[in-house]
Amino acid sequence: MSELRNAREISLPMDASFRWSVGEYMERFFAELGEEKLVGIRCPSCRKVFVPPRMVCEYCFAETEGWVEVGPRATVVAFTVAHVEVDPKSGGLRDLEVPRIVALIRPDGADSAFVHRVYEVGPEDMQVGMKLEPVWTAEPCGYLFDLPCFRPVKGGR
Amino acid sequence: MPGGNRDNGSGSATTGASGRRVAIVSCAQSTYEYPKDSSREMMVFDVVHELLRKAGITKRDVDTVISAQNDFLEGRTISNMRTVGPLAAYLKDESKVEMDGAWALLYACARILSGNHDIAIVAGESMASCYPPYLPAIWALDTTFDRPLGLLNEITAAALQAGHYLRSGSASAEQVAGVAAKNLDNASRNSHALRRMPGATAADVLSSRMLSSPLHELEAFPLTDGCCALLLACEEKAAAITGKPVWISGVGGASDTYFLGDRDLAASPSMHQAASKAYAAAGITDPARELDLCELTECFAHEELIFYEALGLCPRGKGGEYFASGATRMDGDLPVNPSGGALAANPVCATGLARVAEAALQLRGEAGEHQLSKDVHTALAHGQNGLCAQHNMVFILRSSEAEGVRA
Repeated sequence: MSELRNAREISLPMDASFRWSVGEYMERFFAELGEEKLVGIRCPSCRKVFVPPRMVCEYCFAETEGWVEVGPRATVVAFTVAHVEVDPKSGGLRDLEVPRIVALIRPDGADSAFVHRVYEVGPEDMQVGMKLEPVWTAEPCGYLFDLPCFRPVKGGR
Repeated sequence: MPGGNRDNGSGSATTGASGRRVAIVSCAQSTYEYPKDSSREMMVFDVVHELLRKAGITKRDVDTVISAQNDFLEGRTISNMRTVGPLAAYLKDESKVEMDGAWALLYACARILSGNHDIAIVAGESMASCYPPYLPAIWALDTTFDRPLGLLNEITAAALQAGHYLRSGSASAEQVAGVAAKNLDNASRNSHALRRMPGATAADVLSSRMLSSPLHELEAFPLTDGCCALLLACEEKAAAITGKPVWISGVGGASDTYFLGDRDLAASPSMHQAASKAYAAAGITDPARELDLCELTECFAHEELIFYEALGLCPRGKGGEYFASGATRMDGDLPVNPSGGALAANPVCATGLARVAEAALQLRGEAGEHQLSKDVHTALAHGQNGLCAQHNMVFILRSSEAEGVRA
């Protein structure tokens, strides 16, 4: 009995699971987080230290080797105060109730920086060059969120 | 005569080993809208139909069809499966790149230069109103660290770069906003553009919503539905199709690292590499003087300033100063984005092709209300992929007069 109608929108949610091999280097990186340590890997050719570790140095086309403990102190290379985030369902932008600091951070002893959270500081007090320290969870167990954020070193230079 | 000394030049890599040249002989674009009241199939069909009609040829004359589409933007794998028909690709040698249309153009050029194909359709399309618009870039992030942390997306990545560039002292916030104002004002004369703001000022841009400091809404690309297509032909076939072929005189591409924390975010070495290769192929040694216009894919306003520097239009660190000189305005020495660029419309996968199409229209004198008032013979067009313009592709286009081809 139903009439044929043009479909303006058909909802076919995709709920697929994927696995990504983290490789033995990222396994080690996560395991070290469980010991409250930040580690990187050195390229034997250019001597650069990458954090998080990568198995190949793309600059030298060489396999990296040689673990290096870095930090725990780190420096703000760049930062932004985000007022929006991506809504995980609609994929659009939605306002953040509290603006979020997103920073590019370089641990002492590393040649690369990564993007991470900075807490315990207001947007107006954030500065490039600021010294940070990692904040560890109460019971680290060897996964990414053992290190949920960084914070300014008290009285930090 | 701008290209007069090119008769004895051998630089044009695009003549290739086969000794062939490739010309753009027709181009067509949808209007860029959000949302567009059209199915994907009809949007593509309308553009490709217009492309062939303008050229006065039929599907039968076409040898190969290359599209730029993305499975994640269509919510299905093999996104070109349903567009074979609307692309005029049925029983043709058809293929797809899952990148910006500038890469599809390179692929089609290579096919013609090989000597195996004479006439190619290149088309790019997407409809941001149909996919979760900011999620595909998040799905492109490193899966072990960046993506689970949930901090990076197109907006925060661009904001980190914009902040870093401002801090380097290469431009002021007003100059970055001025780029957006210039392009959105230019777009007011482009009937295809989505975001058109006659008389836009830097103050308008700086008073738009703050997305992520220092990046404002009008300094970021708008979500867009749209399609752009080009028709390419070898030299022998071009003359029969048009009296105003636009020659692809040089092309170059390069990719930077994925990792933002490795890059010098205040510069674009991949754009510099891409442009250097394209200049060498086209025999260009002084781009600021030899180019008549640029069409750049500036997904964010500050990118255009970084690109000025990477393209060698001004010294490193002088992007803001070069903009302030007025050189890149519609009436300047080297107008950049007379169409309004990607800030006026960013149909992902079609954006780079639209830059090429707009540059070609300028060279043909067919840009309409946004046609430059000066003579234009040599143009640069650019496409990009990835966060903070990781991957860049540059084309140099020339009129027959500048290319040294007899009509």
